[in-house]
Amino acid sequence: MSLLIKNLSARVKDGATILNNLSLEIPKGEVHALMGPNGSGKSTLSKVLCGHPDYEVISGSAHLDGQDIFAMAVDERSRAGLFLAFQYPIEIPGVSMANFMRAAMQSRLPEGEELDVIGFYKQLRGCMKELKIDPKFTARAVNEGFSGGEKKRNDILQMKMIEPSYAILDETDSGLDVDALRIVSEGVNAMRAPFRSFLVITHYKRLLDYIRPDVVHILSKGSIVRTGGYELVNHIEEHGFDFLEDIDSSEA
Amino acid sequence: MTRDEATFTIDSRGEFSFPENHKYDAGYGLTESTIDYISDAKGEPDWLRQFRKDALRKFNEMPMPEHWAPESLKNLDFDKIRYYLAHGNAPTRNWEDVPDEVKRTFERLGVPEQERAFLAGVDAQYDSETAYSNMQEELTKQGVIFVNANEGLMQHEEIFRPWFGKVIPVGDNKFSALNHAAFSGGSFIYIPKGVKLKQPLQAYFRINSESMGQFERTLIIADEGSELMYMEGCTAPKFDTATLHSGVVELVALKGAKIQYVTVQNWATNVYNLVIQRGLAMEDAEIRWIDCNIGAALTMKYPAVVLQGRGARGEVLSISIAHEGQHQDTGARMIHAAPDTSSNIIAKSISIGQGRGSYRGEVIIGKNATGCKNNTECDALLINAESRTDTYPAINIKGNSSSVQHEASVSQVDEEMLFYMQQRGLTRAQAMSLAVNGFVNELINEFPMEYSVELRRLIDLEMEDSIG
Amino acid sequence: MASPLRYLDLQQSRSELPNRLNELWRNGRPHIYATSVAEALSSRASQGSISSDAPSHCIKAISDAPSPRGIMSAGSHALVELHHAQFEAAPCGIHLNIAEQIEQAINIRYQSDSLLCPYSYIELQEGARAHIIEEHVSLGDALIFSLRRIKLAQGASLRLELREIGSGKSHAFNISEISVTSANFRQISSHSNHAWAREESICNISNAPESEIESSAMLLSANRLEGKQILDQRSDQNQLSPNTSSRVFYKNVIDDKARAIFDGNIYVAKDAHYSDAQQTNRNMMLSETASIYSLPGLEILADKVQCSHGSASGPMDAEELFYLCSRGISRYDAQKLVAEGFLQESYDRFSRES
Repeated sequence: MSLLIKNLSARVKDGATILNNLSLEIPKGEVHALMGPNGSGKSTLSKVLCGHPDYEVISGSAHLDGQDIFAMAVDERSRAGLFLAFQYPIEIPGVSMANFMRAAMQSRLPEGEELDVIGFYKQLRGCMKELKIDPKFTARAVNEGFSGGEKKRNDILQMKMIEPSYAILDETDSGLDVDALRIVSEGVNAMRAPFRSFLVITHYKRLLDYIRPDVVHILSKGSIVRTGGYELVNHIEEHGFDFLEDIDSSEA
Repeated sequence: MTRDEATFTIDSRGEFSFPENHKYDAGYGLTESTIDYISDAKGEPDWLRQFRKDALRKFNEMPMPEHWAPESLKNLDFDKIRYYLAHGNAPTRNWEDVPDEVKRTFERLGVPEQERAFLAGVDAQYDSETAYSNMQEELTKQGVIFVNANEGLMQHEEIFRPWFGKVIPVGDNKFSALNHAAFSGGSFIYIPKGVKLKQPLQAYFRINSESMGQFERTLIIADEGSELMYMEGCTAPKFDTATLHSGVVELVALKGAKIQYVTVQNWATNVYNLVIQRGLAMEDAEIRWIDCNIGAALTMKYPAVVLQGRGARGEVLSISIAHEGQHQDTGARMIHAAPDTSSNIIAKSISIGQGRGSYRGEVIIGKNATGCKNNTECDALLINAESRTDTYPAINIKGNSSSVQHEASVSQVDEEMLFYMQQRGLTRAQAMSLAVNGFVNELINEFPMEYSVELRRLIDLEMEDSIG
Repeated sequence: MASPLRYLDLQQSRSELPNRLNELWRNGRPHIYATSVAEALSSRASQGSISSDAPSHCIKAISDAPSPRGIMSAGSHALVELHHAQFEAAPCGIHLNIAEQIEQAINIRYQSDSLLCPYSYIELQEGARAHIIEEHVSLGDALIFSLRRIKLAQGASLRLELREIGSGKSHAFNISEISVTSANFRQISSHSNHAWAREESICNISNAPESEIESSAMLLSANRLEGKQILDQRSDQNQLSPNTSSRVFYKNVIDDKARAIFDGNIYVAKDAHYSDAQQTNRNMMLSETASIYSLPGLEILADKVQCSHGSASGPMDAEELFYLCSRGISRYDAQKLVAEGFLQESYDRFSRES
């Protein structure tokens, strides 16, 4: 059981190819980190996996627990267990947090079954308390007027409620101060489990100090060029991404 | 004809008026015999003479525009207007009779002596032969045609006649009919495929009293992949005896071509300046109207782009300044008739004292125009206004794949801002012009260098006057 | 007082039915609708029910209300005349005079299955406060053509909800003339299920000479249009003395072959300095055949002012949809949520404290 990506090439619709023959497997229960310089394709990978309309797959496949996700619509992939914590969460004017979460939870129930509203609110408030989110936020429109950090915490709240099997965190640390970072990381760590996997996409070592990965991948020019353990993180910290120049020329 | 033979009177403003029935002009009013006079004087072929006469008939039938026009238009009396002045025979006046403010503006703008005489109506001609002939050689080498309306239609009929009157048809409105009947002067330009002109073409090169006439007719055809910038007008106040300027400018940008049309207008304040400007942009072509209206008693100008080919782009950048006794009624029209087209309108108007600025706009996204975008921004700045400012945009969209955004605002120069600048040593006038320059800054930067420098100076001058 | 330019040319058309040449009726298919309204007014008899749960001491006789004659309208004089004829023959409507602060919302209801020409006259005395919900229910192919005059005295505050509920085949026409003098006014209108509906809300905002209170008025609207429905809305924010503020915020979701027209004007009179006015029209287009005519306007005669207007129209935001789908919500439900949320913003603004 894993998220298995094989030979994936993808591009911006009517634009440049960004992912080149990328292969990656994330077994259940593991936390993988994906690092790479700007433009390497980190965000593109997460968007392509979730089915963002601006991108298209050229070749390759992605299977979630054996199911072909490229054959599914965006919402079907979500219900199959895939979750993306956005780099830039969107504001949805007029749609309250509470209504939004209810719709998301309702969508996961079988046809005809009604969501237990009382249970839902209890669960929502509980999660908000753990993440130290002001309960008044349930009435506010999704992400509207939220600071960067508040938007990220909101995504983690959704993750807690939805309980996905494969969660991708896209540059979750950008825009967070130390306190917010700690809260978000605690929330993520509390969700680590043998039936759940995480792909943490980041630029910096900092987040990975809080959310310790089991495996680290380096992405360069649209494909994975190095896979290893935590020591890779330190290497990047010290040498930056320059060493990739050597990889490119030596493995050319 | 010499100047002495022309007996005329000069009033207190330095404006002058014609006596009745003067020998070298077609007289007042527009009739079939005026048309004959014009066609004879120019030696026109029959088809052109007939074209004018048909247009005259339409002009007489059509009513004055009501919906898309300010109320002051009702004051225009067509029978009191002179429609044709023979080439090179415009009457002139003495330098001493030129009003002081006009002389001061020339001084401040650094207008060359030679030009001042022409602009002020002291000389009937501007001798630009030398500058013009050098440019002409370059252009001919590249296959560029740059002639006046009559030359275009008579010597290059196969190029210009197919497009003449197609972008702005005779029956479009009363003023297009008028222009089709009485047109004279203007530029007819053809740029061959792939030719990208490095230097802008200027109307100024071919100045004589005719080409800067009342009923200019300009037609520019940019063939596939070609590029050009055309400039007309100047910041210096332009004196004219004619009270009605009704020009027509038609632009055709074929596939992948790009036309930028820059106008700076500072007509004397007895002039009604009504211009119909429209461009047709084909597939992947681009048309940009860059407009600055400073003079005239009433200006009505709504540059339009019809985005006819997929991927076409249209843009209107407009600055207008309205002083005492002026009404700048300007705007833009974008008609999206093909998919994936985009348009942008930025209009900034400044109203000072009794001056009045109005914006009239129209953005239409048609049925088959999917995936289009428009952005419109129109801002008005009021200074010591006993002025009024009006904004009347109209947005009409069909379908769910295009997006249109329109923003407009009215504000005045902030007293806090002025106080702060004065506290740092600037005079009130300097502070004002800094503030106003800031307001129009991003637009002035779009004008070619020659104009932008002059425009800023002109604004400084206007601000000095307004502080009083 | 110099009136807004957009009313000037109407001197000629006082007696003629509005047609396409009438600028204030241009895009609303007047040749069909103005004619059918005139026909209904001339051929049907007024019948329907009128009710209100206002405190009885606030309800006055409709015959004691100042006549609706002279009410301002946006180019609809000929039709208003026909209303006067119906009303004078059989006066009907609600006359409220409120002198205190009433917490509980007051309901007014007009219902008809044929024709109803009611007149609502609502007056709030100094310092009074009220929240009124006026509901118009049209059954079958009914036309409810209502005129409204609202007068707010110094220090008064009124929140008004206008709900136009149709049957799918009905027509609705509503003209409101609102006078706000050193007072506070907020209105939200919503139209649903009418084949054709027109709303003219003309708000005259000024401050009483001795008063320190600065008038403010807010007009909101939230409408969902589908099928072949047409909604034609005209709004006028007329700021007549210094230091007043007004806001217009109209939102439409347009589907199928429906059409919305928004024609809003901000008029700031000479010497009405320090006026603060904003006008916003936002339209969400859901289908290839939906259409919108948005005509925001400004006529500013004073110079120390802060005025702006904006209009934005386009499809549903793809990013917003993607976000919701990525949380498992089906595309259909996501579209519903986003469209509802879009209109909800108007309601949120209406309910906000200040």
